[in-house]
Amino acid sequence: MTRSGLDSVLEFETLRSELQAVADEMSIALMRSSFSPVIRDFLDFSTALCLPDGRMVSQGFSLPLHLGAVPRAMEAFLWAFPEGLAEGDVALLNDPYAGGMHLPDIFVAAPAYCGGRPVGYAVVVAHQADIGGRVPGGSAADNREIFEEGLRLPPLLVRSAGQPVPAVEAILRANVRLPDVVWQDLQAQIASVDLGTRRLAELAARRGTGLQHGLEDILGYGRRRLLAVLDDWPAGIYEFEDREDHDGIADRPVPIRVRVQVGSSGILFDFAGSSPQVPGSINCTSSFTESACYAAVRALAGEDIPVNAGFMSAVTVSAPPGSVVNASFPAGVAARGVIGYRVIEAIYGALSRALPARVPAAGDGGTSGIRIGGTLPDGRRYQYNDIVCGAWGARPYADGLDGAAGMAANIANRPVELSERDDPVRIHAYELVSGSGGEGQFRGGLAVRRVVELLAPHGTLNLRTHRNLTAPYGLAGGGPGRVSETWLIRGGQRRRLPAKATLEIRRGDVIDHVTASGGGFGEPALRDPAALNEDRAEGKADKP
Amino acid sequence: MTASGIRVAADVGGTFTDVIAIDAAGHYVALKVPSVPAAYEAGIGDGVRRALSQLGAGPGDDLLHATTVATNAILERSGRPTGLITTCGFRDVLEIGRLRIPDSYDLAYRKPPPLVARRHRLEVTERTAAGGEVLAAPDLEDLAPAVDAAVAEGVRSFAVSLLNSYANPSNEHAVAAWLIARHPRLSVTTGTAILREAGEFERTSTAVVDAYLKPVLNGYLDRLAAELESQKVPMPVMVMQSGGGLLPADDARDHPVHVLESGPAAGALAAARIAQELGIKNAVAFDMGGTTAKACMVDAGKVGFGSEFTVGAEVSAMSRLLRGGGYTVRLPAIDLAEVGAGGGSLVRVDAAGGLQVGPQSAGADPGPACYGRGGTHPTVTDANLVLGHLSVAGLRAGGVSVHPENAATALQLEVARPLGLSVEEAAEAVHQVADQQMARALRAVTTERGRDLAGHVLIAFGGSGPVHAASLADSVGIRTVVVPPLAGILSAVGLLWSAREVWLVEPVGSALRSDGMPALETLLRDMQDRVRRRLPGAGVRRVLEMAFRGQAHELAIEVADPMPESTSLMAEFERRHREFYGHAAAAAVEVVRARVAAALPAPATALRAPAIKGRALEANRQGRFQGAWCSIPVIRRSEATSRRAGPLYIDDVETTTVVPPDWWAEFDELGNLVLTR
Repeated sequence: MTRSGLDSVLEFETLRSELQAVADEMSIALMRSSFSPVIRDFLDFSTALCLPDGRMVSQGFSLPLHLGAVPRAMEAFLWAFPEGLAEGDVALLNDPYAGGMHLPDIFVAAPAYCGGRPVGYAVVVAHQADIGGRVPGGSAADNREIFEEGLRLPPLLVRSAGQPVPAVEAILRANVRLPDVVWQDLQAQIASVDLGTRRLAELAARRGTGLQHGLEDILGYGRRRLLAVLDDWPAGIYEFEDREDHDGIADRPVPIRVRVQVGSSGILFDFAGSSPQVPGSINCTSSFTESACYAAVRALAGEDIPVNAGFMSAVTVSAPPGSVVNASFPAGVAARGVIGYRVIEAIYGALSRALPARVPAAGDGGTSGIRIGGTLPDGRRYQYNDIVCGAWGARPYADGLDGAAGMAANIANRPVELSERDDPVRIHAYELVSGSGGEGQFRGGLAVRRVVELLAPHGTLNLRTHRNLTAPYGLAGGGPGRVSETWLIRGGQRRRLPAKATLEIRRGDVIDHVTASGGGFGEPALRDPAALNEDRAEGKADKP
Repeated sequence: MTASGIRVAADVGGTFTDVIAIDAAGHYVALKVPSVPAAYEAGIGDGVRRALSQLGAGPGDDLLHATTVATNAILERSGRPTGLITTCGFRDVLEIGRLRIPDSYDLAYRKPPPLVARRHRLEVTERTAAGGEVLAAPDLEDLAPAVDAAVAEGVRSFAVSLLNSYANPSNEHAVAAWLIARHPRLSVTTGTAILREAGEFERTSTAVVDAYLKPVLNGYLDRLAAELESQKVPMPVMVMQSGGGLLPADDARDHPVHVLESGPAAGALAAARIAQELGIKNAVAFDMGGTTAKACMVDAGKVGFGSEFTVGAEVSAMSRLLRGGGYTVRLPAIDLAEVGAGGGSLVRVDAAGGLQVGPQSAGADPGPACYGRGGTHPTVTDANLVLGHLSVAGLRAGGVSVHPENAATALQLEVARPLGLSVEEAAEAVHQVADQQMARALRAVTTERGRDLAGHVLIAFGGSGPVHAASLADSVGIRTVVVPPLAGILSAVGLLWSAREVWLVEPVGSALRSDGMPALETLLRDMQDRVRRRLPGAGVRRVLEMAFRGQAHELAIEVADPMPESTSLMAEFERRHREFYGHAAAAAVEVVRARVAAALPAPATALRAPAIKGRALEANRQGRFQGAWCSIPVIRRSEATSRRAGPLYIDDVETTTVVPPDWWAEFDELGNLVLTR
């Protein structure tokens, strides 16, 4: 399609920025009214606008691993409400086996009407602070099936023709550990979709039937932007296998296999040969795997491409049912984030041959979760909870970053001083590990070390770490990163712990965790001597 | 020295230095002179001398100053090597930061290098517990060789920031005292001297920025004083703070971190004062400059403050909420939303036929294509020139060489041709898409307050603000625009209006309860005494920042003297929380910190009349609105006496106000230009 004439250019551009503004506003409205730090500080949410038939036209602020979430949720809503939602309705869902991703992520959708005619949907997905289940916060890796993970909500009306549905509130409140926080955050989601539908209706009122055409143009634009990128990528078939070391229950590696087919009319990801679904709850829904594919493409494109149904029409994902990348009922999915990481790294590994000047080597492989919970002598419960990460793989043009979050979990750490103030722990080190980056013309990012001592008499340590057997890969002759390590120090004795574990610890025990480091890129002999000297002067590389 | 009543303001930006000199009667001279990035003080000295001589006056009582010198030193990392002493095991806190990156998809992201090299981040064996108990005193003997080595390598300024020092700074003080005793010529900043608050990264980063800037700002203020002396206009200097208010130069030398980002603060505060004078309840200040546009809510004449800002972070309508990137400073700053759309923003057509404006900018060099300094890519300013909105004669008179044909060529090649438009149509499209970009910033700040933009008044300023204000207002349903006098250099005006101000912040971190009130009152009184000692005779404001327990966002509640009951503070907090966030949770309320400000208001000088009047350089010029060219009358602000209908151009020395068809323009008695439709 080509556009010409000032009016059509302006119509298109105005609609495009107005949609972006609506999506921004929905995100701001959500952050403004939400209570839990998961939404306000960790930004674990996404907003979107869809056509009446469910196709997504625009996303606001979005977590990369939410990119494919909304289309599947809209399918489920429209399956449950085949006539579409009525004016004044608001629907929600979280069931991974009916449009959801994992139980803490609640989707909320509302229809926009203009003059009695449906013009689209506003959708918000947000991670709730709790959803019941056997572990607070609802993302334990060692659940064995969905029934252990909390409250399942199939597509339901939470507001019907403008009237709240009291049963939904009662059931939700009765099943979560933080009923006020969860209910407040759900109200924030509803405020956000209400704002989105109001703005969408205003757009429709100004444009009349022109809106539908305009939105189709926006979809076409998303598709053209992606195809223009794919046009520059060499056509071909590229394969790779990466693995997660452990599912939290069965002690065997979990392979992720991908075959990527790049062509000028689209890109196809086939995960045949990936592990069957596993007993531990690291399995993904197909929507999560799709999200990881969209995110990888979007990042490798290197441009600010809008991800909408037009973009998605050029991406095909085939994930075998019953596999770890498309789990079947009733597999546990609470801790699926780690497989999302591995899917992206498998795709990068495959496409490194197609795009050698763009694709980075593998990084630390995901955020290490170190949680210590228990009861103090005075009966108060405590929960120390931190994530440790920060090593990027080397890029074909630059070293991997030291101490930076990555795409799949771009979140903030918790200050040491707040942990020590609020939890019975003392932290002895939070630092980069000198000389740990994978060798190469460009080196991998340095591993990050965190050393934690328990000050309470007793505690339960829950470890969720990655890459402690399979090192992050290097590319183009670059060396691999180092594997992660966790040590328990008790009475002067050091004992290495497995990647995922739950064990009892006591006062004075020290947990010494080092993440994996990033893989290198290019032959180490080609490293710029000035860069090497700088690293040595900075204590980032070992002295000769 | 007896006061002459003459005051001078100088706002230094990367491209231009804006100078105003004003006498006690309100007669003024305003100048825009090119900045001299290699020696900013030279541009100021020259501008100040010229302004004063045109006003027929000798040196003023003081020079009120906003400067980008500190910001630039950080962005360019042109400061000298700086050191950091921190607790053993934590030297990388400064580098790891809070982990988040600004754009999740950016595989090519480069982290801003820490202001202190890793080899100059020295660890000392010491420990304070979270409760304040000293577990181990600092082992200074062990630290000495590393410090001596760093000094030998040229480190002249150190930050000292130890873990948990917010709970008990004694170890931090001990290290600082030892450092000064060992190397008396070092300058030393302790983290807790600026901010005694939990959060090791933010406190350390703020201290490091301060330590890094000390040599920079001291050198600069020395050179500025010498320059003023040699231009025969010696004056005491006061510097604008990011949190508002002017700080005497000597205080700025002690803690330069307070004077980062001072220009935007002065502009927003000037807009707030105009809203107060006009009795406007709901206004949005809109400042469009060369590289970005900024929006700021002005609520009943007051701007909002955030508790933290970053220098050099990525700019977008959402970036302030999403965070990540840049250099963090945990100090109050005016809460602005910023988008990458300014006069110099580059315009291009993407592979799928989308028209993109910004965020990349042509900057000061080469600048827009029409400046003829080697820029070949079209910018928003090029589009405005093609549309006739900018005066070629006016720009040339201001010392800018202008080549309209370069603007047309750039737009033709990079916008018009790919979109199948004429050059004029392409220019119109660029103007409108820029408006849409800026609308995102306006919507961001109002949506945060749960408000709709319609019904707000837009207060427009900055070099390009009045060019876009009316069309931008049209695109978001705003019907009233105020363009203040000297809108193109409003930050300099804001300096004239700013109070001399010092403030103190202390962490509290306790629940708001009736039995805690006496302790709070004692703290506030102690802080009052301390600020009054620094600024005798000043009026004092007391503010408590409060939050629901577990929430990261605080609200500032002003508290009267004597202290009200805890229940009435609680009710006020809940009311404000409901107003800001749409709800009030049933959780305990915590007082996070206390802030006390002492302010000596500026002399109430109104801008009466320019000392030198001028006529517009042309009676009319061709301008394009809604697809048609017509001859548009051009006037100077000083010529406008009655209500006039658009289309109309009002050319001032520093900017042009564009009045489109369907809009009316009139002047109020304070010299503001009020546009309505």
